[in-house]
Amino acid sequence: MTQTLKAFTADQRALLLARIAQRYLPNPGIDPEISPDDAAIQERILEEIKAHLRIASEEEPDAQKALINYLSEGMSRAVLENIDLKAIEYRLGQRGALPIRSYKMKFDDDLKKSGVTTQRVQDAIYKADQIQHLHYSEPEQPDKNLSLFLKHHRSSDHDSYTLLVLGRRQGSVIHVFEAWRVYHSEVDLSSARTPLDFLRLL
Amino acid sequence: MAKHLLYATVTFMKSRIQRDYRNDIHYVWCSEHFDSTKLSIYAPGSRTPRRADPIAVYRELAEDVATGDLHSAKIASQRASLKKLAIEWAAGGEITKDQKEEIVYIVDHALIQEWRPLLYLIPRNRVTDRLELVPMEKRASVEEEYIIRDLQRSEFEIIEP
Repeated sequence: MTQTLKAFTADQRALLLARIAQRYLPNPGIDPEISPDDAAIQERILEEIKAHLRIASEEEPDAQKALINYLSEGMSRAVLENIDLKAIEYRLGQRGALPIRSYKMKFDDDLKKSGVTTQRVQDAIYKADQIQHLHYSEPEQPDKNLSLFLKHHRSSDHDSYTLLVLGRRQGSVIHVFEAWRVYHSEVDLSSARTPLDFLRLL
Repeated sequence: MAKHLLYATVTFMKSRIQRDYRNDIHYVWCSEHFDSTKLSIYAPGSRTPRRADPIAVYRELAEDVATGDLHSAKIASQRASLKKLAIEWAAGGEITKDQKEEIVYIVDHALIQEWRPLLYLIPRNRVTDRLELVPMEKRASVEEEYIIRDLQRSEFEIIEP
């Protein structure tokens, strides 16, 4: 953190760095006017950052990229200072807002009864053709935070099927508890648009 | 003559942030030319520089994502831009502190595939009254570029070739 930035609160630091970053980002010219005082502070901070990064001129190769990266990391540090990242991850996970690879998967023992291998289930989750996260905000209904995954397996004969996998989200963990092979020759799935539609047809 | 369609290249991440935290109202910077290299040299739009051409921006982002370029300048710029916006939205009371933290967390933890480009196709007649011409000194060239501050989801199509 630069000497000048140390005098500010985390929120103020974040805003100052955001304003400085604007200079290096696409700018359609609709940003608020900056007061002369603010401009002077931003200039001082920027000079300190350049000195830290040993940038003599912004024309140097990669100078702007280095500045953008520094400002970007600085904004993150200011915003997430003293914040419990696990709590953010939990909130996002609960809402189904994490990238699927960021979820930890736990497989229910009963899953073996489905006759689908864990490998196939993982494939259906991580390489899903469709994912649907159902979200219920009521805390008394955590079991309804379902995630549904569809993976189509097409074959030239009559064995084409879709693997439907169900899991319950608890923060950033998905407890996978059900997997069904749905054979296209047995169930007319033509009206299904979403994984939930699929489930309703079964 | 004004074109019927406007084009914008937007990262999946930006589109998602606007969907989830801006009530699916999108701020876009768009052009009426998709690929200036396909225009006659005398046609309006033909002098659009590469960095403002929707297809060029699309290709650059798509290549960075396909090659897993974690040091992509374009993606670094997008990442900084979204964090900057989250901070400003929170400072202006448009989102909560929790939402600001979530956006910064999401942006910092995004997988490279989440920076893939999307193309927005915007029928001009739906937004004519809200098109703002970017001031000449802020454009990448003399060619016209537009901003739409409040593009509704029903007013454009997304294609992901």
